[in-house]
Amino acid sequence: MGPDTCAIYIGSTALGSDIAAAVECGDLSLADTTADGIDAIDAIDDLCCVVTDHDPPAVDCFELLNAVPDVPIILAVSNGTSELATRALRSGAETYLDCSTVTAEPAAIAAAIDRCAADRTHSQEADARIREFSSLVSHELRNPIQKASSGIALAKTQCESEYLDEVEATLSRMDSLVENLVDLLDETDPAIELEAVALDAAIREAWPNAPHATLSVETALPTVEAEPSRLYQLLENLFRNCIDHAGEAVTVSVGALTAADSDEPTGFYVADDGPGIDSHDRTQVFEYGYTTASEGTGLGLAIVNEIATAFDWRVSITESAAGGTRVEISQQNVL
Amino acid sequence: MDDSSEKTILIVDDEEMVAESYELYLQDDYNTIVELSGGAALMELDQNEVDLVLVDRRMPGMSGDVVIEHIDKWEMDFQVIMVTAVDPDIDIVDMPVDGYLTKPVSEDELVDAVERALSIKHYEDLIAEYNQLAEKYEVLTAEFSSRELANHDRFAELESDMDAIEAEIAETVEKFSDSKLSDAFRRLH
Repeated sequence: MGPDTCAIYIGSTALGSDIAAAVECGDLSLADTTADGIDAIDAIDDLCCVVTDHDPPAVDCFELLNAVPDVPIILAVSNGTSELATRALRSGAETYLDCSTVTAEPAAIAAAIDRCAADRTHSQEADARIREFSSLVSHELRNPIQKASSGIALAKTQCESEYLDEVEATLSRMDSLVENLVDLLDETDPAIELEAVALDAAIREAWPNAPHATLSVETALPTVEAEPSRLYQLLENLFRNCIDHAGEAVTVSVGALTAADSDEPTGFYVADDGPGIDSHDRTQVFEYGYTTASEGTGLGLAIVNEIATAFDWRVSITESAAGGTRVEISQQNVL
Repeated sequence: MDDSSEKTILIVDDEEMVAESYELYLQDDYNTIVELSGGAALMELDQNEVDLVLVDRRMPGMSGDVVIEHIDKWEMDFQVIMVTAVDPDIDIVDMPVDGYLTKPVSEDELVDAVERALSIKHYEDLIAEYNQLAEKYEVLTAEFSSRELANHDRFAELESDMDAIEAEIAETVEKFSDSKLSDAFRRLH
């Protein structure tokens, strides 16, 4: 196996050789059995996929899919069925190829391998861009936060003011926000550790210092499984969004969502009495950079969605009873 | 730390306000020197003895990386802590630094990092001193019988010094606020 090996073909040597001649993205390594193929996977640094028939020597493709769940598998069968296709794709196969429907089997399989390689390259490039952006964000934002924090520390030696404490607390929140943003951008960040968090306490903690706004807790709130700092950020973003769009005198209502046939909590909602969001814009608001506010960053609800997804929650938007926006967050893991 | 007032910390950051805030955090317990560029920091190190350097990584002109390369090349015997907005990457494995703090740093974080780095330096000095005495102890016990050595006050002093350093090493290890670090040191003994 040379350094240019990009894929493994498990199956007959004759067909494997024909595929190898047609592959453009790199060299193809041939393996007679699934066991040999699995052994070869560890020896290839930059593997884009493994190609196998449904029934190569020794074992079938489903054992391969189970053994190497992180490696893209192309299932190239000589006589396919819709049942097999469904089962293969549900089991995690990257591509299902029925070779009885193509005129040149080696070329079709080689094209599938090349597509896998191209996808992987695009994915690697995207990851590199995200890492670069993450590094830029963290450096370019942390430096001014440090400078401002240093200024506050020095100013406190010259004068006393409650405003200095407030600015200091705000800078601390900004630092947390940067940390969270970087975590969201960094795919290699360790998995989020969820814990039981009382939602009512989290909501009161995250409620901003907004003297004209009103928080109305309409029902008993559930305990949720969340990572506390991210939950704080999610709630703060939701509240800030309410104030930004509905005005400083907004009334924000929060309450539990329950299943249709029981009182069991399935999530919670945050609603306001502002102008609301048009139904056709309700999915766009979760996109990064989308905003209707003149001073909005377009990050608030996008981050809410990212955090909710990380918690395995689902976010949707409806109209509130007051005609404003109602953000519903439903989850499987309400305690 | 008991003798922290004798220690000198060199603070290197191109942002004057940032450097001054570090000085504010540390000046009650340490002598502090502030330099606003890598070049000025190296000149300072050439002229004055310091016990610890806090250095920013990204600075115009000579970067913190270059500063620590020079410190490493010149085999200077003090602790170095990088304080930077740059997220640590795997390259810090090869970086000749004794600590890495990510900005923004609070007063507590900075003071803790400095105290820990100086404690480690103190520990290293004690180990070196102990090894020196232990080497002499080995030579003497190989050369003379215990009865002969018992008649020498200097040998009794040597044993006493070794006991004292052993006790101080144990005491230093106990003082590390980071339990992982103190556990690691305990495993070494």
